[in-house]
Amino acid sequence: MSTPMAVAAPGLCDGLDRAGLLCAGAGVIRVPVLTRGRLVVPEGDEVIEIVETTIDRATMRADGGVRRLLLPRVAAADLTYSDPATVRARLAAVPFGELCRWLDTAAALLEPDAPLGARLRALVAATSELADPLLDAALWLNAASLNAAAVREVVDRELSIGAVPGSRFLDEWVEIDAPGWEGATGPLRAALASGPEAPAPAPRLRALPTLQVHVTAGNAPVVAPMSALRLLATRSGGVVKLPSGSILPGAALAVALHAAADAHPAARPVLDALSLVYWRGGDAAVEQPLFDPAVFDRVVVWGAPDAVERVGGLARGIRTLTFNPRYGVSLIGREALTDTAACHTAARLAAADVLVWNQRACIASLVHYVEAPDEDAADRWAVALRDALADADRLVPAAPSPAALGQIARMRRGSLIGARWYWVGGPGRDARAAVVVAPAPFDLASHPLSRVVIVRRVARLDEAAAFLHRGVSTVGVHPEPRRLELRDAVAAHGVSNVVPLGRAERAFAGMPHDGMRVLAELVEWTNG
Amino acid sequence: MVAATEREIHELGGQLRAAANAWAARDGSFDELAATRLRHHAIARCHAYYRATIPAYRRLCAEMDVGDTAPLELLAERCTVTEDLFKSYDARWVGDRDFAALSHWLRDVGAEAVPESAAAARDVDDWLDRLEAGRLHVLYSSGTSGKLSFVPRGEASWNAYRANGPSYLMYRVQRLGIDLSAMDGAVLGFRGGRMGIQQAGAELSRYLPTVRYLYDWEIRAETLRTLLTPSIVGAPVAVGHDEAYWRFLAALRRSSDADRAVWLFGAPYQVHRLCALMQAIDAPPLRAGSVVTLGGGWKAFEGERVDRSTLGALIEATLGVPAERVLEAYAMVELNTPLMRCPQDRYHVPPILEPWVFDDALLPRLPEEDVTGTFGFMDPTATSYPAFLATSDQVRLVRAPCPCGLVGPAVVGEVRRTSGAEVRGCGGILATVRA
Repeated sequence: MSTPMAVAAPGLCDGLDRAGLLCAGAGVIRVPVLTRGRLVVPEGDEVIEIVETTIDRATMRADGGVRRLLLPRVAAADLTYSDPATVRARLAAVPFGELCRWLDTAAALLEPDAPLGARLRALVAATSELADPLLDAALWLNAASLNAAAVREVVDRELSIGAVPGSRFLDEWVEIDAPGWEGATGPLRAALASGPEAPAPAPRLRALPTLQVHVTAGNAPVVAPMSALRLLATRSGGVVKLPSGSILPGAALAVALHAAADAHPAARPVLDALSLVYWRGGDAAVEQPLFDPAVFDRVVVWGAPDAVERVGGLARGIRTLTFNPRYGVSLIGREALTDTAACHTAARLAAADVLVWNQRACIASLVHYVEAPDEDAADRWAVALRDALADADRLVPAAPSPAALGQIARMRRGSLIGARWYWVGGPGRDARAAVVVAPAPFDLASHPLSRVVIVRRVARLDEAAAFLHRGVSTVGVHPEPRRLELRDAVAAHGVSNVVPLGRAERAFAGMPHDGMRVLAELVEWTNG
Repeated sequence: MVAATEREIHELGGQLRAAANAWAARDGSFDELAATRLRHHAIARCHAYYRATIPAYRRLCAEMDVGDTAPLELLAERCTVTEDLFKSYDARWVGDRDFAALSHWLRDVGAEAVPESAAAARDVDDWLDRLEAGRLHVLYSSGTSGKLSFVPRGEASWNAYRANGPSYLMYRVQRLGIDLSAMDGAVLGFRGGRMGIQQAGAELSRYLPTVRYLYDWEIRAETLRTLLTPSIVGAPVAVGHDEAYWRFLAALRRSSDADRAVWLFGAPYQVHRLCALMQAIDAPPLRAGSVVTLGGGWKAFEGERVDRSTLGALIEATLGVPAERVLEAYAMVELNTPLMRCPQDRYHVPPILEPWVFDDALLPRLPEEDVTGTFGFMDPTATSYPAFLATSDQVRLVRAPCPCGLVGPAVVGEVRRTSGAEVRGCGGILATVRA
């Protein structure tokens, strides 16, 4: 039987140790989850087991070991609300400043130097395919994004209307100074009036909380915490489904938020409306009753096409935000091939865009379209990129998973047998990355997402536009004048980010995601 | 030099067929150890031959640091190719009618000379006809993508392709007491064409006086390509689809009326459909002594999987053919040597073939008693293309003797396609997208 437990901020890790939670011991980690503000621990038979492959951090390859995560099994009834309107009203009454202070306390607990942050880091590192610098950056980002100033900055920008900072719309009914129209019934109302009309109050607008379900993806350890933060930043309630491939950062967030809440009772309704849980995707016993349009106002779904399709079907009747699988590409202008130094410089920039979460992020570059007069020039680019990726492998080592290695071998000995391959680490089981000059179009469905770059030669850079569509999230262009020249044409194909080469990961507060101002989609804009 | 090697390999192939015959006879004449030695020798010679004659294979060997001689396990690890090799050409060549490029590609992935005249072909069928005229037999298959896989066979490999199966399957036929002279053939397919599956009909017609087809016309590659283009899938083939089944049913009825048993060949989902139609009109079963052979995979292109036990029951109830007379083979266009399923639900690997099971990383698993993974094989009777192949099928391979009496490795249970989901992940995506 899974049971709730209390863990307070002081002595947080001691409490976890006493409860046997988030401890690496005997290959089994007991993982707590949060259901409507209660920390629930795995006990008895009501558990779900996830098996993870452990990694040799020196080689970044699977070391033959496994460990098991044990999580409490949750039911839909643990996650939903019998009186959703009351829950929304309580959430709306939480001052945004109080929310930020609570999140600030939780952020401090998750900082890499804090005991919980350090524990999380050690646990995640055992199975993470991310090299230490990338892993540390991810965990730092998860903590830093919860920081009060960061949350306020994002909300103030993303929910802003006119010069009014977004957080005011969360806290109050904000008067809107905008030209208006009384409508066709305005003159009728005046004609029907028995006397002079009282002046109408100015229109006001508020961003009210919603109840949300977030189904997240495990391609990067920042996805689930980021999705949860969006729920929290809109001072909303709901459920965040953690991805099987990245459970622990979400579980640590649950622990931190729970522990921090005692010092911030005014923010308690937000915690009480929050669930950070896991169930197996497709578990009808949970999913069928959960996606109830009478309870939930928004669904956010990340991930693979089958998950998006499944959740989209379940969420019929609920406004759904979909972060479809997308990918990045790079457009390399002929200027990069004029001499060795230019090629070297551009290849290093390009490598950075390949490395984003080991190429598993939707913004990471998978394909390079190179403006090259002949195949030799395309090969020169491939060699320069291979060298850059080899250097990157020394800074942030990575190795393909066994499945990715198998996929690379399939490509090499099948669809891309006629391509020219440039290896980092060597072919076969030694492969660590590869640059492949492909003579023909390549089916991206079989891309292994493990630092493998497909190079396609184009005679003119604008020819590459034919390969762009809404499935491409990000295009990095080099050099800068060519980016400015191509920006409109690239954007016209539905690409969300047209960025300088090497800057695919750059983000800023209030930045749209997949063409959306996401927080603005997650609140209920209400006139009053 | 290479011609002598090719001859030697096919002589070894003949000896392997003889071994397979002895294996299938189950009369104690089969020497498993000797057959294994023979097969390994043939595989070693094939490797050297591929390396000498197939440019793509030679490049692969060079990159993987594999010379003319190498242990079997090393060849499995480094030199197996995949099904996609046979469609690794640029699809635009077909649309652009660039058959010079397509011929060049075929020469790169195969060992056979490609007739020069093929470069001047008007369309894919003309290209195939010109290859055929140059004694290069090219079979093709296709998945849902519409991109055709082309597998070339010169005369020697073609002869092996036609001879391997009968060398060990005839015992099964004899044990069923089949009298071919009293049977009609019925093929749920096209009368002709170069799809691998069509060859079953062609081979059947060698032994049976009358063979009827669901579609009494030859399927052309251009037609198939058009039919399978995603935007228009189903449109033209739907025309006359039902009528074809009704005509086919009438032909079955004529056989029954003439008191002739039927050898029915079809893909499971086609047989399922035929049975459903027969049930709907309460059609009488086939004459006693009829046989059903299933092939071509258990999934329709729509992804629906036909349940084996449901189909078995339906066949018995509708066609009147009991389970022991329902034959099934694991075959693919790249394989010269089909694996027959026995009554114990095992697909037996004839001693002609060296089976492999690969792990996720496409590394060969040790040949233990019971292994699961991706199926692969080395078929040393094919010299026209690299027949060291890792498939996309997930299997369980066991080596214990089968209660049916056959020895050697066998695939147990259902064969399932490998899922690519773990590799594709978030950015992975859009199955139809091309970059």
